Amino acid sequence: MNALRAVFLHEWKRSMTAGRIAWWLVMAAFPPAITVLIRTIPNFERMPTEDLNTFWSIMLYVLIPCVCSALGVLLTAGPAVATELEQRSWVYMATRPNGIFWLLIGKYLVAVTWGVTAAWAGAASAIVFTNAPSPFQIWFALSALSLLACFSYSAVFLLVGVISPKRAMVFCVMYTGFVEIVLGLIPALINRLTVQFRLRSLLVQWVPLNEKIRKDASFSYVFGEDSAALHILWLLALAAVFLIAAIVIAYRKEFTTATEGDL
Amino acid sequence: MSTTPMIQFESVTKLYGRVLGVNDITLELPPGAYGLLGPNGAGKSTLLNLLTGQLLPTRGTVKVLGMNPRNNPILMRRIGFCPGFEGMYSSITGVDWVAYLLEMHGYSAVESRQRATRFLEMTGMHKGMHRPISTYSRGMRQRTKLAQAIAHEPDLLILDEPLSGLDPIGRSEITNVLRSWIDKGRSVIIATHVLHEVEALTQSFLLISGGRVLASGTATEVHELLFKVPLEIQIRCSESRQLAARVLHDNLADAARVASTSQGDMVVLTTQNASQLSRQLAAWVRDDGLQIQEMRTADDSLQSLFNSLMKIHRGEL
Repeated sequence: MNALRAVFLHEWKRSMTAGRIAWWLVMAAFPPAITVLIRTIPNFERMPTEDLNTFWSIMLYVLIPCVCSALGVLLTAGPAVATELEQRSWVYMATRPNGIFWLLIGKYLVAVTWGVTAAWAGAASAIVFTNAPSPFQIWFALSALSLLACFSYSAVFLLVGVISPKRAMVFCVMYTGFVEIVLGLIPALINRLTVQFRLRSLLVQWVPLNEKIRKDASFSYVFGEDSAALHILWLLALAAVFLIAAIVIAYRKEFTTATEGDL
Repeated sequence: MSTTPMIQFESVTKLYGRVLGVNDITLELPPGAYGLLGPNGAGKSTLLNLLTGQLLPTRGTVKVLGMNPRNNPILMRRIGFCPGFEGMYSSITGVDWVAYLLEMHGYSAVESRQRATRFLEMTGMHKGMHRPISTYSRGMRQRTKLAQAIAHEPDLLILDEPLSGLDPIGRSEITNVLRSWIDKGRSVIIATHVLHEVEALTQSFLLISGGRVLASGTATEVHELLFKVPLEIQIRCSESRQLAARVLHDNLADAARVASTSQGDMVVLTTQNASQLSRQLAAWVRDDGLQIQEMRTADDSLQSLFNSLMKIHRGEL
């Protein structure tokens, strides 16, 4: 565990750059900023009280676990391998006992920590500016969903980064757009394999949604009716599968810095 | 000393797409110190990457200390690798970098720090180890790279151009560190394209070019090979035409001509007997008052050796 501790602390320190901190602040400030802007919309305050919990739950779900968490981990987990290859430091880690394993796990945990702290800060500050009747319930649900989103998306982006280090960010964005947004909303079996489907299903169970939405038949395809425990298990299993796949592929690939010019 | 071969290559070929990295190498080396000599692009880095398990052979098998090096944590505990490029995190200090890699090796934070300090001092980094690596000179980076490779005291040290970028004092210091390392009975493989860099460290050499091991032997044997290779020598001296006639008359050169240059006449000789020629030139300088202003080989002697060996290998010589 010395290796994991070392990688985590080292990567955490390395991520403390002005640019990264600024990005963290942008991520954390984004949800409260949008919340404040929404409150300034004319006639917003006339929204029926029974709809306020639903509105803020869905709005903050989109802003925090979907945008803030996903973008937060995208910048850390996506280029995890590419940064080592670009600065040619990969070989130093790869020639340590289980070095690749510890490096990837350490970077994964840093990505989760980085993303979830931004999301939690965003959730805590955004909820203050809402006029939802059940702010604590919404805040608690969003915080839990953010944690699960960070665990899952970090593993997904790490895998994409291992498969295609050179174009990791592009493929991560493409994956999010196509798989999580498009496939995740297709009312078929395929959407059950997405992170978004599980997160949405938990959202429906954990926040005080309007009963009309809960009982609407058309929504039953985009929300799962399984127990919360099963959805959490699915998310953890997806994260584990993506993480294991990333590690296996990293071990099988030949990440060498030798080019044709310096064979 | 262990009887397990240090390195075993059995019909090893490595292809990068259609580019040949190493070509059908079969080789077995007992523990010891070896110089891996070859020009740039010879396949040295590929060979080292195969040894450290970073590359998988396209064909054949590689064993290091009796084990397959690919993804082998047991072997990784026993080898130390100093790559030919830098690749260190520039924002952190040398001691932090070496300690970090030691922690990845499994040492505790405290022990890693102690070892990092000790081995950085050993490589002559006592003054600079607490500065960020971005402020280091090329030589300091080389020393830091070497420290990270030896800090866990591996059984086999694999070094890619460890002396490049070092000034003469630095070369001497690092050579001393490596010599004491070898004297302790540890094994070392040093890849380089400069023969004299490793002559002080080992007498065993492998000559590699075009992805093949072309020859092996001691430093003396390599020098013999060097002298047997037709060598072009350019001499600027006081009596160019007389010297050209004399070396041909005494069978010291296969061909000789006098070329006019902006700095005067120059004798251009092709010889297969450079050692005898050099001895005779010294005698003429001493006895006959021959004045030599400049004498140099037309191309790098090691490169011409490799070119000749490749031609011999292809049956062209």
